[in-house]
Amino acid sequence: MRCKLVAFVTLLPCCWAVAEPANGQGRVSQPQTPVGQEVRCADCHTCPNPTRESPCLAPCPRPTAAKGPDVVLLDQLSSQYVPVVFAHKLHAQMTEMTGGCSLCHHFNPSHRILRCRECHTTSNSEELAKPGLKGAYHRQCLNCHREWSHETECSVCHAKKTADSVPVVLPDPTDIMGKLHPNIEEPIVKTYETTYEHGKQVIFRHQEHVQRFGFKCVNCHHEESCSRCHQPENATLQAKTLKEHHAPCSSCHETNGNQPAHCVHCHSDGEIPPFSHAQVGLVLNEVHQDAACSDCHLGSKFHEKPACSECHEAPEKITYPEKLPGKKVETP
Amino acid sequence: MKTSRRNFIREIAAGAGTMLFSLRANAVDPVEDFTGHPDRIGMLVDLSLCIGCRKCEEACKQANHLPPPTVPLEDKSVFEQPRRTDAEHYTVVNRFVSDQPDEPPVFVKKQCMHCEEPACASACLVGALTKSREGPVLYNKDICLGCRYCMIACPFSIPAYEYHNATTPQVRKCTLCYERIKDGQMPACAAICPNEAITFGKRTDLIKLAEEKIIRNPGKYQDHIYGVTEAGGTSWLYLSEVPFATIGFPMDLGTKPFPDYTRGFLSAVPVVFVVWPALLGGFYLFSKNRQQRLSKADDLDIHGKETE
Repeated sequence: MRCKLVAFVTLLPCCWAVAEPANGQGRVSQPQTPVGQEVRCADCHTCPNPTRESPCLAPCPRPTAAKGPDVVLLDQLSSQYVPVVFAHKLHAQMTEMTGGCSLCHHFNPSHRILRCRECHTTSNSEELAKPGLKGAYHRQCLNCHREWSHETECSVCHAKKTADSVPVVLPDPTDIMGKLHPNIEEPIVKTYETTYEHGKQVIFRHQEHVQRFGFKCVNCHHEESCSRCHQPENATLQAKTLKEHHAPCSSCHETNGNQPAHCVHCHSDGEIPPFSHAQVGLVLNEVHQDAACSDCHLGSKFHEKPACSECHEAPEKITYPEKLPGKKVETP
Repeated sequence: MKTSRRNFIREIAAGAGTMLFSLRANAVDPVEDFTGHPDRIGMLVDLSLCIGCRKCEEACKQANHLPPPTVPLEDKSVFEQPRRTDAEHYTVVNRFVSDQPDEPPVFVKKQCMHCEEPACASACLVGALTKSREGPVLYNKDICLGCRYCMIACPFSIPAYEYHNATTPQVRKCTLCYERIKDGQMPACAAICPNEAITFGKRTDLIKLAEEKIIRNPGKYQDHIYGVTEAGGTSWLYLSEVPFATIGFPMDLGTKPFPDYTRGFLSAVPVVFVVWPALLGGFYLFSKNRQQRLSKADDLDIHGKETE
């Protein structure tokens, strides 16, 4: 949640006001950022004639082709501490799911990425709302890291330098091995237990959606917080409105609550077409017809092998249909 | 002039009534708005930013020439018991763990709140505690009697006494780094805070900043800035994500400055000590004179009779 809170600043316009034409001169004075950087129209606007109504702003910040660094060494306090190794690439990899570059590079006006210290001064700022450089650095890291690691020890990032300590070998900034975010394992099927009375289960075939429609992660996951993965037990507790719950699906599926016919398209207590149990070779008839989904699919894990031992005495003698999902086990 | 016994009692009752009424009227007077020095300073703590590193404790001790922290900053066992300020700890950070297991703990820095109208200064017999023009509530060790009324008066239980010092004990508490402020520096705790959870500035600006933070982050903060009105207002202000009552803040202080509770009574003290002795002394002299005159007249009468 806190990760998102950082993003509030990004809601503010990140382009500085363009100066009005000077009176009688007929010329447009060159707009400048607060740090005295010159700005060209094309740095911010994607169309040649932007208007107030349709400014056609490029997403902020607007870096040129220059790529971000892989690793950044923060060494302002190198007299006291061993420099902090900030794995920029690792964070940038994940940032598209949490609000983009501007999550950290907020208020960044145009083509050049500003350094933190260009706005955040080291001394006590006259603007009370703007933290100093120390606060700016720490808040950027701690806002998220504190949320899921609960580690706030200085030594987690800063190793203290002492007179008798062995000089620490600085990491090679070009070596990013081990500093990349591990690949995220894509789920095959996700099952959601909902409170909708006419159909509690929603089965979302994640892999199928991705493959069939060629989705990228960011198409759906664009407002995630770090703790969604790093502390999933917290993320699930977030209170969401009905609309927010349906938001990921509603861009393609009709999720209007007024028409129950639409609801059962996803919400069901039984098979949801086009899926049928017959596809995997087990027809739901006789007693199986009356069983609740979770009687066999323990914990609603639909992509795993269903459990028969809950009812059948000798489940090892049961021959599973060939196409049944889950791990195949050798039967004696 | 002849004063009957009945009239005398009536006059006394009327006088006493008038005096009592004037006292009551004094007590129910509307509370004066504390204007104070317009540029007085304050501190704003955004508790959502405090990470419990206790750097402020360390910096406070350095700035006030107190012995370094007994428990190392890395040792988190210090949070197991709630602590309070004492003669060697002008500020302490306490941890409050939520009932809900997934909620992160809240760390709360505690120190003298530097009330706008301090109860301690009002309780002090000799004026050893004073509210300075700049905002800090300051202590003068040279005139302190050691009565410790300030410790009882403080609604936040902050002033501490040097019980270990048998010869020259002092009341010790946060000074809001008055000397540093005079030198144009921030108080030590605000200067050291790595996450800048403590903002130092003019009190009026800080209230504006806190209001802005609440408005800009809907749902994040409690809709309350602790210290704006509590006990008539304090120099330290707090913003929190969780209800203040759950993180050790006294919520029953009201908005009336504490000195107002005793102002009516204390203003009557000079009346009691000056007017009453004069009045009663007057009555005494009056009745004594009268008795003397009567007894003289009686003597004369007796003498007259004798001479007749």
